[in-house]
Amino acid sequence: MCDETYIAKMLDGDIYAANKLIKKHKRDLMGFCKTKLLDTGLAEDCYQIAWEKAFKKLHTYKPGSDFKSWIFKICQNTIYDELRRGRAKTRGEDPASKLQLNVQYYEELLASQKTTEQLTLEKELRAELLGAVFMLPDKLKDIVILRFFHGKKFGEISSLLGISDSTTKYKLNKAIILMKKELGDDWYV
Amino acid sequence: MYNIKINKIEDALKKLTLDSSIFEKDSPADELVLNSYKEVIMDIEMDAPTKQPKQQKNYKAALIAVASVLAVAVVVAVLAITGVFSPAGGTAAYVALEINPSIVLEVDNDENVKSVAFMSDDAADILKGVDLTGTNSVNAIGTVVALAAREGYIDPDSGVTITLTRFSNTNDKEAFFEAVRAKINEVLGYDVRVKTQVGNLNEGSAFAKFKNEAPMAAADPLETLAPSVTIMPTPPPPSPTAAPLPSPSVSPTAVLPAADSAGSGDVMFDIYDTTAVADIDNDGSDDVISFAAGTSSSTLTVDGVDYTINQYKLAQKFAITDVDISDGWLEIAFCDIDDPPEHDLDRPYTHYYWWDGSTFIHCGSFWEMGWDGAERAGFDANDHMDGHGMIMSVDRSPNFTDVWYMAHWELNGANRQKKEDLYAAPLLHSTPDLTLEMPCLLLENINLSYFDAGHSAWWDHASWPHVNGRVVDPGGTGDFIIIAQPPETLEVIKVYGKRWFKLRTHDGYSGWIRVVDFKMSGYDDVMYIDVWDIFEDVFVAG
Repeated sequence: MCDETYIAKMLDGDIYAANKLIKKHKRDLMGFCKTKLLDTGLAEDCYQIAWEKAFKKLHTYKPGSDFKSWIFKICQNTIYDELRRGRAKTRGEDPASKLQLNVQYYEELLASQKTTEQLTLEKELRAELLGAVFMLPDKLKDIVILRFFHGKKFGEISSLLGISDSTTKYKLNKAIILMKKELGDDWYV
Repeated sequence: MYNIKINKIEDALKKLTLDSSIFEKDSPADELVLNSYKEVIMDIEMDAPTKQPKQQKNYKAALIAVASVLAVAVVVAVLAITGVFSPAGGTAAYVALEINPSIVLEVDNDENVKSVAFMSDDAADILKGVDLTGTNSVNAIGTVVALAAREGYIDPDSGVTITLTRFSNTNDKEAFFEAVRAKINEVLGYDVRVKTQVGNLNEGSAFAKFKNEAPMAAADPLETLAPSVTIMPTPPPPSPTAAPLPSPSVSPTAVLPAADSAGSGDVMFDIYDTTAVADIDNDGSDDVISFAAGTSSSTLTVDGVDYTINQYKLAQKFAITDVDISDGWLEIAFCDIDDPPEHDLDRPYTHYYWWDGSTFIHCGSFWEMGWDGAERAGFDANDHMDGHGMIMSVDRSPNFTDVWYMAHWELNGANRQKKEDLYAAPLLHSTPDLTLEMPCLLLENINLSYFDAGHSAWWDHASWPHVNGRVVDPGGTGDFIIIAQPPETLEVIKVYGKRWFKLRTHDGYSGWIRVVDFKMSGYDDVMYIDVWDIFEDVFVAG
């Protein structure tokens, strides 16, 4: 069943359809929340808030438009709100400790999956690489997360973020250049 | 080597890819999300039809929501164009009343209301079922104010300013304002501050010009009557016996010695070092005006309200004068430190600012007009007139631009806006149209403050509702912007300096973008994108 059909049913109060739609998009949304916020509690809060906002605005959703992009945008905005609040609260905290916690969280995500390909990259190098990703400006970081952490194609990323493929590629290139600066000339795999 | 390094990073990043199935695991959030859905659906069913929340019961917000004449001019102009109002056929004036709720009245020669337009949903809400047509305009305003007060939009315990703008060709504006003030005091039983503004129906005003241009062209700040939003200080607590508050206009006699002949062409100063105590708003009580000079900016404080002066290294002196006693504005002047090379071009400027009780505008700066008094008698505004009969001075106002330019303004206050046509040039050579690749905002105002951190959300495609609407007022302050969408094609119609470009959409809206070194101001800091990301036709050779 397509998203539009679910939404039409949801507007009539169909909880079954709501459950289906939520599950259909959980992987992308929860995945983005967790890899962006790097905190399970915050991620689940944002995930829930994003859906709640979407439910309240469901009547404004235009049939024919991409629901996935729509809900993703809401989710992204919710995350940014949370990040802004979080940054205000944690201002003055040691950034190195914060970075270490973020890397540790991502390591836990890696450890929770069955595949072992990531283990071919040494842990120390992984930490450095993750550190460079987490230091990126948010807009560039989003693209890196979607492209590499979630393995999204350029077309999917562009669609989710509402930008063109060429912009996505350009920004990804910019992100990698920034990471290269962060990691230094000697860094290589 | 460089590319190899980048590829190495990309290769390494690919090793961090997660198996997305780990995010599908059950979590407490699942049930909470579903419960949210149930609650929202139940609320909708209980509230159907859904009520729009009333936007304003917050009186501080009401204070801030006092819109500029700019907004009024635009709205009135749009209404005229769209046929809501018909300027012909006995229309003597348009009167805009802004409290939030806000309305525009079309008034005939007998001063009766011909038609009413609502500028906000709140206005439509409170005036539902009320027909003001045929009512005397003053009484109509009294009715609106009374209804607004009844609905809680005006409260004696909270500061609120009512902004009243009259667009007409007649000279009865002051009488009209006085009558309205009296009416408002009568219906409320207590004092509120009434800010008055005027516009001319037929000539020189944004309204008249607007009729020859596309709709949003009237939104050009450079062609409208006042460029800035007004935030009024909180009025004193109401008293049943209190006299009506005076208009924001000021009297020169409160400050200036009797010998001064302000408005005659002389520029008369009363010079102070740090503080002046004088009744400059003519309300019968002394106002405290203080000035603190700083290095990169300075601050003028009038009765506790701070105004920032963005000039480099001013002398610790200020002067108050009234160049034109017929308008409601005082001129407050500041001077560069006369100590080369501290000031620009090794010569001091005197910087003039207009102040009307609330709004503080940099009107221009005169070169080598010093402070020791010798220049006072020798200065004649006529010496600075240009071919348009306007005063020329240099300006670098943050309200307009980041480069020095020749400002043109008039003494009489009726047309004190800066004239876009005098310094924003049409293109010398035709330029190919630009096709958008990404959404792009066109600014109504040329104003550098739009690129500061407080406006980041404007430039953020993730947070910007760029799919909704064409003309929006994101801050609710009368700062309108146009939303252009890909694959729309835009025409370059004007340039100012080498950084500002005015673009026009196919349906006639126009607005400014700023480009510095191929970076789109605003977007550059937030989205990390360059001009060729926005426009698909822009390439850099080599």
